[in-house]
Amino acid sequence: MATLPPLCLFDNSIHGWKSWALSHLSPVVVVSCSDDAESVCQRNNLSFVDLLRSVQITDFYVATSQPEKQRLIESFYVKWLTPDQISPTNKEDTNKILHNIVKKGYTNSKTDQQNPLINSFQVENFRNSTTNPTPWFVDYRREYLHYLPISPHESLEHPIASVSIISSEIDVEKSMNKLSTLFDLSHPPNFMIENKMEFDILQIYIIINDVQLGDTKKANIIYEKMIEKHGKNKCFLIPINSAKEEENKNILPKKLWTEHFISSKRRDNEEIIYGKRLNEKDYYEITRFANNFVKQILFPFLEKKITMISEVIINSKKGLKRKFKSLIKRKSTVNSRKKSIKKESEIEIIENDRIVKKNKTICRLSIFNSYFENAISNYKTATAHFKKIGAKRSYIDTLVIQIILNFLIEEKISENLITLILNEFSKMDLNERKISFYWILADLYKLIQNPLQTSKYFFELSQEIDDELISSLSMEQSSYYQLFNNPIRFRHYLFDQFTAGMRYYNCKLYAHSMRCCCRSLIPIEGKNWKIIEDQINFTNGRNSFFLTEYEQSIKCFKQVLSSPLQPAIKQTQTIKEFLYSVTTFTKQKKIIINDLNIPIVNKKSIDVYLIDDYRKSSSSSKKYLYKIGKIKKKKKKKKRERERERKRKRKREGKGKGEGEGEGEGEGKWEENKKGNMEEKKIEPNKNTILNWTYAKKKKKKPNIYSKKEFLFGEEITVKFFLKNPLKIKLKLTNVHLVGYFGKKRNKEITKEIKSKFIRIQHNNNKNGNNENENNEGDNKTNENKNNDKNKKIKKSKLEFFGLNLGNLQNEEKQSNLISEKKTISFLPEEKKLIELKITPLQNGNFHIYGVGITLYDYIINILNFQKKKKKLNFKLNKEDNEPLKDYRFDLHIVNKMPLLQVKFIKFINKDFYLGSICKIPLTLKNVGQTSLSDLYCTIEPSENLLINKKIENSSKPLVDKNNDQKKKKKSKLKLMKDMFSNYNSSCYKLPIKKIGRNEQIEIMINFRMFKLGIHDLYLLFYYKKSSGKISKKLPYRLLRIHKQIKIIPSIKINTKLLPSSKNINEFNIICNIHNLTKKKILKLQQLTSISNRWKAVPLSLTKNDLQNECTILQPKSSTTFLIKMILQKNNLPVNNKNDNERENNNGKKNDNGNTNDNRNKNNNGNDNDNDNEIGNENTNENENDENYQNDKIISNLCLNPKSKLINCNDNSIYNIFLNREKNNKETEFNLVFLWENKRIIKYIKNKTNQITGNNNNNNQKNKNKNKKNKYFYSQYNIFNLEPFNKELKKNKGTKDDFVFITKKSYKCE
Amino acid sequence: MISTFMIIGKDDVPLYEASFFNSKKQKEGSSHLSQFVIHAALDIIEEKVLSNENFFLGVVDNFNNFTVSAFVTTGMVKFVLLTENKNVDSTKAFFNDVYELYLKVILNPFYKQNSPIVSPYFDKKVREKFSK
Repeated sequence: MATLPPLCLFDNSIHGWKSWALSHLSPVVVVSCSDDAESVCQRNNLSFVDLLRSVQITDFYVATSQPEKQRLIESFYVKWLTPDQISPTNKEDTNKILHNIVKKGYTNSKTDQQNPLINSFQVENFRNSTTNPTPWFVDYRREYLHYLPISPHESLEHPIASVSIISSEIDVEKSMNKLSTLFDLSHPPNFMIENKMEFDILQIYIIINDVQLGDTKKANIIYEKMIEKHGKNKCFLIPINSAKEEENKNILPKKLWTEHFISSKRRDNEEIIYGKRLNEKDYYEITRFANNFVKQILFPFLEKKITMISEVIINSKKGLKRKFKSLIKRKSTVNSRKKSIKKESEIEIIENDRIVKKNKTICRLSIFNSYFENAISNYKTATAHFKKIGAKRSYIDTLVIQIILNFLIEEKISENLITLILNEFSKMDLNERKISFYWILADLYKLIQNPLQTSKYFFELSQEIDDELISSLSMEQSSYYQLFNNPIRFRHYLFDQFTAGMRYYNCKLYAHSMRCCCRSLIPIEGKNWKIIEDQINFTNGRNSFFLTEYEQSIKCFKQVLSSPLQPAIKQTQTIKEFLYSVTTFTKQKKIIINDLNIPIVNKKSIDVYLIDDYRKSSSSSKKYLYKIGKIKKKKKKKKRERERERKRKRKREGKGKGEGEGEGEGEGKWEENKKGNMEEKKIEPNKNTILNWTYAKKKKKKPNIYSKKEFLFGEEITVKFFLKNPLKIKLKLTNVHLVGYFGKKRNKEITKEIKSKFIRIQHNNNKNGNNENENNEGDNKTNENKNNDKNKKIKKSKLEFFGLNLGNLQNEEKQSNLISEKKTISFLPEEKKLIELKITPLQNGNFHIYGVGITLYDYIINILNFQKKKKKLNFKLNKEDNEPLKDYRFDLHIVNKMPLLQVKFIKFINKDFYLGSICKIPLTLKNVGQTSLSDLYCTIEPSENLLINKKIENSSKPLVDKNNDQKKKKKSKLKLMKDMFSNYNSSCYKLPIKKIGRNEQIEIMINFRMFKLGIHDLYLLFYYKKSSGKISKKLPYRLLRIHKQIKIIPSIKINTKLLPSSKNINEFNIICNIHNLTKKKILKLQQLTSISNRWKAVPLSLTKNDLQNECTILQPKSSTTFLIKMILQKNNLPVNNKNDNERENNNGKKNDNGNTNDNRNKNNNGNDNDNDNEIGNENTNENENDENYQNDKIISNLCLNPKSKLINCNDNSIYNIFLNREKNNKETEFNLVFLWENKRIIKYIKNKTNQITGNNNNNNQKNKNKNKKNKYFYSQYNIFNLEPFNKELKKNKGTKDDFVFITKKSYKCE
Repeated sequence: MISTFMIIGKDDVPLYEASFFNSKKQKEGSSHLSQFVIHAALDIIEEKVLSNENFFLGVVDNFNNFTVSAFVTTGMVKFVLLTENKNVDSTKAFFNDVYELYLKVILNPFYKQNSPIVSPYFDKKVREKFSK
């Protein structure tokens, strides 16, 4: 106890346990000073109370009841208080004073940044440091206790005496009146009436005389008058101001006064010289007065009063008993008892109050009189009495004083008493007493070095008290004492600091709040307590806004928004305040704020591509390949299924059971999984369940991001990515656009540095008047850029660029040769959206897309950076050459300007087209590129080509590889193109367009006929080049692919009947019925021709003329019938059967017996008269080679097989009619072609001779055929006409032949 | 304040947090106060662990009507529950159940030590146990 613990260093008011106890238990004396007396004292810049407080009362002996024994009173302390200090008149004023004390104690949060306790907080340093972190707290505490209303300290703070002071400067006549009115008990002051104080107090009168300026004689006269009126014992003359004013120095030590200041006003002007006119003699006079007052007047008065009051109490007790008895005797009847009891209780209360008052006074006085030793016994009896009569408030008060007395005498804190009091508090609502008790306890534990309890009671105090300011102060104190605990309670420190910060904020003490919140962040830094961090940052954001540190405020709010875990209401609030601080900072102008993670870009989803990518193989053809793949798969599946079925059959027969079971189950699984039955199934070990296999879905191939891509000047680059709104509220983004730059590297450091500087400069400008800072910034800038003038220029320009005006930013973007598409996107809470943005580079060289620029809430411009993937090792290469792969998604190479063709279908009629009729589709070709185009070629990629021609798969390779420079020179353009398009197995034609200028538009028309029913894919492929200027080696030409679907519906139906001629064995008659299926179209049947050159078709009868004239007209939905004679040409008849066999052997693959068998089977199925056969079905066979056809041998003596004599043809222009030979059972056929509308539509080549051996050989042949794969060849040429739509073009440019496309269609079916 | 359960790993890193709402109003309110209280209680837990052999430390702290109960594993991972419920037995049973679930999480070879527990299964089960 001798040495002060470090805790106490924080509280200068507590010099030790004894002084603390004395401050609580010392008697109060009211000092009422007249104005003239006060003005005399103020010549020293001190009040009379200040003078008295500085006096220390020397130890002295006091006489006791036993005259032999004298009692030593050590370090007695008197509380000198003015009436205002005892009971402040206005609560608001006192609150203001208290508020100002704290506010002035810590004003600037910036200075706190230099405080090592905040920036690098180390507990050990803190514990060993002697500096007080809260110096204002001491002042506040002192003031608070003084301004506290008297009632909580009722038992002790009751004034015991009053001192009235006048000066010699007053008139002699008026002096007596003045003296009596200063503290007149006949008209007691308000604080005494309000607090129900006893008016029987000791009164003392003083006259002070200014030795230098005053009149001593006059003073003596007044003093004598005072003695006459009040007696010598109660009057004092104190001469002061003996020193001369000219000296103007502190004769007495300054500390003498300043340590005891209470009024906060005094603290403001510390430069003022205190007691400049007081010398040692004056000070001696004052101390003499104080000591005499205590020894000679106060203590005898106390003794006298104690004895008097104790007598009164005894009498009052007796009197009370008597009254009770008499009351009971008087009213013995039952009815009147109730009333009497009421009266009794009323009297009892009144009497009790009196007793309580008297007891309190006696207790209080006994403390001061006996000076502690005997006081405890007095208090013990008093508490017992209070408890007995039920005066709980007084009971608690006496208990509290007992604790203090115990501590003072025994140097212990009796915890039993504390629990007793706390229990009493829990029963009653005594908030004010509770608060003062916590204050006392906190102080007590502080004195005995118990930081845990100290912090506990400070915490309790802050929780109980309604006043936010005391609450925050005590909470802060609590936090510091957490650090003195062993082990240190660092997390409690955080909590207490934060709550203190919050309460400071409520008191509008923002600097304090900021300080506490900053400190509370230290223990959780980097530990992922995000909700706590957010809350602290939010409060800090608000605080810094009110402290006009807008930059800091924006930073804090930004951090809160970067991890949005708060509920929606909180988020809206945060955003509102964030925007408000932004707008006030920028003065309603736009500002760039980077690293604001709203919204969030999904790093994985970013894809940079061209919509019509010239590098990719035809997207449409890929689709088609996929379709084909499906067909193949299906076929394969069918095959597999067939095989499985066969195996199952075998199993049933008893062969290969084991294998079959397994496969059968596998099949079942596949079907189940195919249905999408991927749900988990529980495994039940008891049952023989089979685990289901789950098949992973095939992932789509990811685009290769590790190769550098080339894009064209002026071409729209699309970037696709997912954006997510992380907030729980709606979000609207404006000006969403891609951001990119040209060149090697973006100088990020410079921009960052400049930006931060700019903000600082702007901030200083806002403050108006901090020109010094601005200049300093300027100086720093020049220092940094001394060596490099160029950088300086750049920085200056950048400074403008990063200005708050977005106009500059937009201009910069325009200058940097970029066109970036801008969008407005709105998000629902936590919504995720796929965003497609376009950017058009208008400069050659390296181009880097680094992010998305967005504008939030019209004021904040934010750039969301795209993050590249990390480098990846390339395992495909050898170890030596293995260089890590880089992500080149955003690093693009922009090459020369190129034209860009855009093709649009003006009127693409989605109506169905009739089979065989001309389909007309007008197209517009527009060059939207930067330069004009020439060498426009076009081809049609029929989808069917892809079936057989595997070369098409190579089309994904760059076409450039084929076009070597040497080849180019040798071959003509057309040949070259044909070679190139040979991949597509289609013809390529140059369009009759020499040049399409920039933004020029030309219309052409495509005419075509289709000869197959159903939905057809039309793939158009355009090739073009740059007309003038340098042509990039890497991109010499460009391609454009277009895909459309066409539906073909039937237009004509032909039914035929075949009859053998009665005249000649080699002649047949065909009856044809042709029906026009179209609703509006008039068809002209132009020609009937036989394709087989061994047969001749001759028109008969009615239709003869019509056919000859080529003008058979078929009205819509009408039909016509005519006869045709087919004559076998004898010259071409086959000679030898052997040759047939030889031919078959040579061309074994092309022959097929299966087909004939099929036909025969059909005929055998009872269709005696009619047999439908459609061309284009897989049953029809073809051969590409004409030679085969010419070598074919025709057999004579044909006769019509009765079972296959009739053929009914439908919807097609090519008809096969099969005839059987009578003798050798050999089959022959003839083909008819119907042509209409003056177009040669088909070049049809067909060869088929089937050999049917005798019945005996049938089985052998069948066995052979089984081993062979059935193969059919089919080929067909489709002709497409492409005509210029414009008449002028038609006249001047090219002929019709130039526009004809011939595409070859061939099937290979198995 | 909201009833909250937290698992706190080494170096005070929160591994898991579940807030249990009784009403819509509670949902809208922020949970920062409960986090503060739990974080502050860690001081007392660390003090109590030294003097207590059991995993379950009982009620370690109070805040207004709420009590903070704790359970510390051998790996010094702290389970802290902030509730109004003052029934020690039910709290203990809850901690034991969650401990079993936590062990399953640890046994997962893909779980990295002292990293946040994001398993929805774990979350679901913890909530189920709390509702019991």
